[in-house]
Amino acid sequence: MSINNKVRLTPLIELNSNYLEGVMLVSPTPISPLGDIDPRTSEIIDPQSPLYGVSIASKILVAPYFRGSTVGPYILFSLKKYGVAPKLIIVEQVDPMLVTGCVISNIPLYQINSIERLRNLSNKLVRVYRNGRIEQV
Amino acid sequence: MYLTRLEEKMLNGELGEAVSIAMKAIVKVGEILGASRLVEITHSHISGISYLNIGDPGLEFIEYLSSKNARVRVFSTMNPSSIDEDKIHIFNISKEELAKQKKIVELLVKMGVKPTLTCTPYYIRKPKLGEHLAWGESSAVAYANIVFGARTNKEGGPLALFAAITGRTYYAGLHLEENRIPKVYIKVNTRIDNAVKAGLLGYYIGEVVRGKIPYIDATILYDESTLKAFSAAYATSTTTPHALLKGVSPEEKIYDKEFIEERIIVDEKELIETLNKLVDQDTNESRKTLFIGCPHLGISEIHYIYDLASKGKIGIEGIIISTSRYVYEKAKNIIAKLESLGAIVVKDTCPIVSRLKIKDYLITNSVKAAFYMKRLHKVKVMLRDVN
Repeated sequence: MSINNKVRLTPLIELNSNYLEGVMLVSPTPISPLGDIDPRTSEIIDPQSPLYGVSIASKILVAPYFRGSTVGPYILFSLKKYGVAPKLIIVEQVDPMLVTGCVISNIPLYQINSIERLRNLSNKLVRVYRNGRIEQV
Repeated sequence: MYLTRLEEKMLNGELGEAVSIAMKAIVKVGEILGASRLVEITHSHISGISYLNIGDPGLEFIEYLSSKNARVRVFSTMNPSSIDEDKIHIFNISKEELAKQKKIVELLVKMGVKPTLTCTPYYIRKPKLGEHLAWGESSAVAYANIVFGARTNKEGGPLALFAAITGRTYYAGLHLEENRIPKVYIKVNTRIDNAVKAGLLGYYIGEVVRGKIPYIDATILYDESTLKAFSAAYATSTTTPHALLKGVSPEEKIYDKEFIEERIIVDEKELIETLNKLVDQDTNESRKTLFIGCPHLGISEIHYIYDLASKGKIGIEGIIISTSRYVYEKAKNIIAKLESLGAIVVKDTCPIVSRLKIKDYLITNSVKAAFYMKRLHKVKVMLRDVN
C-alpha cells in the first residue's frame, strides 16, 4: 500500500464511514450531467469526452468542475435512485448545482486545488478517508 | 450560519415538514458554498419540469414534497415542460409519459407555482436592479444578472423549488457585490450584429473565463434577440452566469480596471473556431428542420419574424417556433397569421426538453439549442441567422 502524503482533499460533504475504496476515474474536462451522463446506466455519453462509454457507477469521480443545465442535480439524484451513482466526487471548483445535486443525493463531495495531482491515481483502486487523506490500495 | 428566529422555526419544523426539508437543504448547500446567512428572494423560477429530463426520480422527488404539503412563499414560475397540449400529435410521447408530465405540473401548481412553462420568466415579471432571485434555467439567470442587474446564482431545479418553499436562498455567489466585480477584461474586435454571432461570442467567453466575471467591450447590435442569444450561450459554457456588457449592464459602474487580472482579445477567428466546434458540416437540405425560439420568443421577436416572412424575406413553411403561453396569448393574431403561412408555433415547451418530431438535421439561430440538440437528441446541427 503506497501512501501519497502530499495529496489531501478538503471535505465538503463528508463520508458517513471512516473511509471508502473505489476505482478513481479522472475526467480532464468539465462534466455537464444533463447531456454527458446517461442517468440510468451512468455511462458517459459525451462523444468528445476521453471517458466516452465509461460507466461512473461506484467510481471515485474526479473532474475540474461541473457545468451545464440546471436539471443537473436531478441527473445525480437519478443515478442514486437507480443505484449507479459514483461513490464520491472530487472537483477543483464547486458550484451551486453540483453541491445541490450531492446534497439531495447523499453523494460525498471533496475538493482539491488541482486534479493534476490525482492523475497518477487514475484507474487505480484508491482509499479515501473521511478527513480527506487519500492512498492507493 | 446565522439564521433569524423565523428561519430557525422553519428549520426545526415549526412551519411544517416541507419547509423544514427545504430549509435544511438550503442551509447545507449554503454552508458548503461559504454563506454566512440567507437572503430573502422576490421570485423563484423552477427548472426541471420536463418529465423526459427528470424522469421517475424527479417526479418522485416532487411527489414527496407535495405529500408533505409544500406551498410556495414567494412569486414562483416554472420552466418549459415536454408538451404543448394543443399540438400533441407533433410530439413523440407515450400516454404514460404524458400522464406523468401532467402530474409534475399539477403537483407544482398545487404548491402555488404559476404554470408559466417558459424559460423567459422576465417577460412575466421584470426583475429590478439589485433584487435577489432564485432562478433555475441558466439562460434566464444570465439575462437577469447581465441585463437587469438582479442577483441570482444559477440554481439547480431542486434548490429553486426549496427557495420557493422557504422564500429564501443562501447568501453566497452572485448575491454578493464582491463576487459581481469583473476580473477579466474582454475586447471584441469583430462586430456582433445577429443572434448567431452573439451566441458564439457568449459560448466562447464562457469557456475562456473559467468562472470569472468578464467586462465585455464589444460592438454589439443590442436588441432583445442578441442579448437573449448571448446570455443563453454564455450560460451554457460558464458556471458563473454574470458579465458586464459595456453600454447595457446597469451595474456597469462597478467596473474598475484595478481589479482586472486578465485581458482577452476576441477576433473573428475565435468565433469561427467556436462555430466549427459546435456544428456539423455535411448537409442534405431535404432532411432539415428549421427552429427559432431558444430562448422562447418575446412579442417583438414574433412580430419581427412575421415581418420578414410576410415580405417574403424568409421562407416560413415548416419552421418550428417556440414561445411561452403568455406571449402566445398576447400575440395571438400575429401567430395565427404565421401559422397560416405554414409555421408551427409551439408553446409551453421546445425541441430541447421535448421529443418534438424533427428531421435528423436541425438548423437554428440558437447556439444553446445547437449545443443541447446535438447531445440530447443526437441530431446534426447547423447555425444560421434568421436573415
